[in-house]
Formats: sequence, structure tokens, C-alpha cells
Amino acid sequence: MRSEERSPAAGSAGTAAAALAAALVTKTARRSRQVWPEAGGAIAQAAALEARLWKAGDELEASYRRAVEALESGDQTAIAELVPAAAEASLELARIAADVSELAVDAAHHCDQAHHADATVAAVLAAAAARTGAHLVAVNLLSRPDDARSSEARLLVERSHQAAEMLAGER
Amino acid sequence: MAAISSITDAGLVARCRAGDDDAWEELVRRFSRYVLAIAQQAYRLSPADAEDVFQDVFARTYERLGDLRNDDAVRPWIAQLTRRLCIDRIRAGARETADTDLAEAGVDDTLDELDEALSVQEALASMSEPCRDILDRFFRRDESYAAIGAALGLPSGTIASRISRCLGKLRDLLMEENGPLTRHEE
Repeated sequence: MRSEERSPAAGSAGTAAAALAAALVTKTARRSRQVWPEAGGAIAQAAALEARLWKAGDELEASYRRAVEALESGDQTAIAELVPAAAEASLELARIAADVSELAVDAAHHCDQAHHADATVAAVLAAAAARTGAHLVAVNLLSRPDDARSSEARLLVERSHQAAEMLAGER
Repeated sequence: MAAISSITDAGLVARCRAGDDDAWEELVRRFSRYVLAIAQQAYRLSPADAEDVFQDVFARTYERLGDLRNDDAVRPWIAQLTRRLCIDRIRAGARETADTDLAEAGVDDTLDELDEALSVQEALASMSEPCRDILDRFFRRDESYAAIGAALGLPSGTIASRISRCLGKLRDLLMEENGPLTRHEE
């Protein structure tokens, strides 16, 4: 991440933040088995979301590299195809991160309350990742702010932000 | 009478023996992916060879089902038959892996995985439609909570809990069938 190379960059940072959030949900659930009979279900969902995140992160970086190359080449056809594709990949990060934040809420409300803070921080990290994805959508769709992807990204940020704020307000 | 897709393996075998055509169709449907997976994933047969093995397996199953001593054991019986026919196919093709030991390398592990997958598939098939649907959407189709909520007319914030409840039911079904699960399986 700290190298001089163009990639990995912001998309991977957002992916890692969301993956850390999923890992915190997993820890919260693992340490709550005694009081939460369905903790295993949350663990399985966190694992599925984390797997999706890494896949989405790879696609995000690849699409970013392709978009930058298109922009540098000045090829308008390639730009029209590849820049929106980078926006779509960024939106996928926001979608998955928003789901991690909802899973964190579920965990916080069922877990051993000694671990409520872990679930809350998971939601905070996931909200940051959703915001990262949404920001990259906006950057890639600069010329089309009314695109449906921009609207969806804003809703995802709102959803994940509300989840984090709600949990933070519970303690 | 119970829907044929929901009857046990043993019940299905009994109906096949009685000459029930629908039961035969269900038997083939229930085990076809399993047989093809053994041939292609465990023995790495080509699609054409795997298709030949598939035909042989079910032809012999039809001829020899009467030899099966324990109707509950139809799955391992079909697995063993498939393994034998895969080895025959490899030998007949004189492939470089004609050495039986080499061809069998790693097959047990793959077969264990396939058995586990089939157990999960069977348990899923016996679950209620809402549970089956929500698990399929999340784990197989990779749908988001929002997309699942929109499709099923449910608030997005309730989807994670519902999935966990359904996974709990699935776990209970698998434990009934196989005994306690390990943490890894959970």
C-alpha cells in the first residue's frame, strides 16, 4: 500500500477496513456462543461477506487500473466503457460494507454485551468502507452525478452511518 | 403420500424396487450431480468420459439395486460403484494415470467434501421454502441484504437475523443426520 505504484490504493484500503469489520463481527460472535445460540450463523455470514469483499477489492483495483489507462490514452470509447466500470466496482464495495454494518448491528444486539464495543467498532469501520466505496463511485461518475449508482451509493452510506451511530449511542 | 423429492433415500430405494418409474427418475435426479462430481472432480475425467461413467452407473444401479443390503446406504453404494467405473475408464483409456494408486490419490478427501455438500443439499431440500430461499439468495447468489429484503418484502435490517435462524435450523437437521458438527463445519 505504501509503495510508489499506482495500485493498490484507496479501493484496497476500503476493502481492508470492511474486512477488518467482518473479522470483528466474527470475534464478537465467537465470544458470545454461550448467550447467542445463533452466533454460528453470524460467523458464517461474516465469512461469506469477507470472501466477497476480497473478490470485490481485486476487481476494484483492476478496474481502477484499466480506467486510468483509458484516461491516459484519451481513447473516448475506452473511457466511456472503463470509467463507469470502475464506478460499478466501487459501488460493490459500498454494498458489501453496508451489509457488514448491518451484520454488526445484529451481532451487537445479540452478543455477550461485554463485546458490544467490538461490534460497534465493526459498524464504524464498515461505515467508513461504505463511504470509501461511495466516494470512489462519485469520483468515477463525476460527469454524471444523477446516475442511479450515485443515488444507491448515497443510500448505502446513510444506512451504514445510521447503524454505526445507533450502536455508538447505545453505550 | 409425501412428495417424492422429500422422501428418504431408503424410501426411494424401496419404491424403485417396487418398479415405481417416478422413483427411478428421482433417484437419478438426486444422485446425478454427485456421480458427475466424483468422475470429474475426484478422478478428473473428461466431460465425455464422465458422461459415459454416469450412464454406466445408473444402468448398473438399475440392474443391481436388489443386491443392496441396506437401503439407507444407497449413497455410499453409488459412490463405490462410481469409483470402480472411473478406475475402469482410466485403465481402458490407457492414460498415464493408469496406475490405480495414482488415480486414487486425494479421492477420499474429495469424496468427503462431496458427501458433505450432498448432505447440506439434502438438508436444504427438507427445509421450509422461505429458509431455503433466503439461504440460497445470500450464500449461492451473493445477494445483498437490501436485495434480499426487496425481493422478499422484508426490512433489510432483519435479513441477517433471519439467515442466522435458518442456518441454525440447517445445523440442527445436519446434526440429526450426522451427529454433532465440529466448529469448522459450523
